[in-house]
Amino acid sequence: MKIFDDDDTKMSQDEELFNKLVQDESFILWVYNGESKQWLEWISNNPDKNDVCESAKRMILSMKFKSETLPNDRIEYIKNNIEDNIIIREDQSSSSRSQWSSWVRRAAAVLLIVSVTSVIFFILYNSLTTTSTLSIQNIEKSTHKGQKLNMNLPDGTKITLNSRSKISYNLPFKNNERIVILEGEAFFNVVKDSLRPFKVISGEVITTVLGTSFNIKNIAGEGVEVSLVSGRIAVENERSESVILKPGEMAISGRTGKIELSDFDYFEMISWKDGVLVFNNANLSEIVEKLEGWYGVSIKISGRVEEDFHYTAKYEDHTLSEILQGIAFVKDLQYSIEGDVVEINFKPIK
Amino acid sequence: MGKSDAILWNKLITGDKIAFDKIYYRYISVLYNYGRRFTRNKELVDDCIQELFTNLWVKRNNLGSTNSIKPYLLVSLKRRILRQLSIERKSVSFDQLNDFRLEYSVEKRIIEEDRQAISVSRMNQNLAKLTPKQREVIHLKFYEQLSYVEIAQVMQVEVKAIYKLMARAINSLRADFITMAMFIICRL
Repeated sequence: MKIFDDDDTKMSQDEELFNKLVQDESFILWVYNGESKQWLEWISNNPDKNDVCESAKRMILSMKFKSETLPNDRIEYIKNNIEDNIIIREDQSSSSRSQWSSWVRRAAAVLLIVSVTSVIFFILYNSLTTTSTLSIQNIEKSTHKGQKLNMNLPDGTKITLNSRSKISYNLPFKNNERIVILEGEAFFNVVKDSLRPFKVISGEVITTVLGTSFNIKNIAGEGVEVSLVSGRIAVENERSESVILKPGEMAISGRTGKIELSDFDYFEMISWKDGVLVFNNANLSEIVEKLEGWYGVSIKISGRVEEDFHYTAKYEDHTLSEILQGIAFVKDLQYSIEGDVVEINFKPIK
Repeated sequence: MGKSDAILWNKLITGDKIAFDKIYYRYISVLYNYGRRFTRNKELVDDCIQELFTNLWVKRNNLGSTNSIKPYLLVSLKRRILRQLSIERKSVSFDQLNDFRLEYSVEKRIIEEDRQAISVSRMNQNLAKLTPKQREVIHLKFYEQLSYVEIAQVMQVEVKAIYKLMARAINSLRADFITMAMFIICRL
């Protein structure tokens, strides 16, 4: 045991012993872990000190303090910021090559040789073949009504393409930029690559990414909505106005031509990619548009629709007729499904 | 701590990103909780943690070896937070800034229910009477369970000074626990 000097006040023997015990590292560990013959022996040899020992134990065990736990999404958010900061800082310092350790330089040299060889090979190969535009390949993927498409880019980025949407890009990516062009709606989970920013061009909006997941909805005539789930992205319009989004924020480029920021509801905006259909206080045209896209049907409306028609519901793996039945349960309507034509008839309001 | 910390740290120095991630997830909660004791400003703590880990990775080549990571991270975070606070409040010395917010969260089985409110608030008053440094020693010893040598490292003073701070703190708090123990014995 360590002897602690205490010059403050005169204490009784018991008080002195109490102080010593509470400060003693091996005693504290014994209280926490309970494995020490030394202290068990000491107690059995000093039965008259049992009360003091119990008090000391109690004090150590009471030393619990209010603490604040960091929620998981905050932990991930901070981590993402750190990753972004690292990318930026390493970008800045990569110009000063002197910092590179020798093996990095050697690895870079090997890479350089490999790439020079392959360029030479490529030039030779190209000169031997008749077409000279072989180097760039344009890839285009699109979905019809009622279809969704999961795709992977060569860099590992995952894209979920919603129905009636189209994505196109050139391979290999040029000028150290990964550029894709989007019409319609897609969810992106972008793989981080500090040397090659990922850009999505959708209508008048360019979204630039470091590594993150987000949703872009670009419906012709309705503007572009970019919703960020994690990471950080910059959204820029034709006029070079730009905003930086934080997770949970959405940028809307509407008819005003300006970019506006707002919060978004995850379920409403993103859950389509997980096959969840959400109506959040939706009006009839929103419902029709979603159902047409989702199930690949065309919907005809007849009858008189109540003026303030709104509907809220969430569907996971339901058939179209189940959903229509659900709506018919709260709204006065009849429906029929024939092939890919759906007719909805609203009953006259009495 | 000890050997596994030393291995993890060496991996970090050689540029192992997985080791970096492991260190982050292992210590983020501890760091946040410690940082918040100096300030109510959550964003400031977040920012300082971000800076701390960004630097840890970017400047990993300059790191020395260690076999206990926790004190290193704690002291580094504390330095950043106090520096930020001194800029914000235009204050001169670190010591003036060093508030250390600490309150008991006492479990019911230790103090009987009917007396709990009274005694916990009295105990917290006594805790508040300690100097910020004494509270910090108490926190690092009993909450973080650091050794006295590690505490000295975090608080940037000699081990002897830590023993003294600890002795004074316990001396001031002792009465709460001796009477409490007697009270419980009486109930039995």
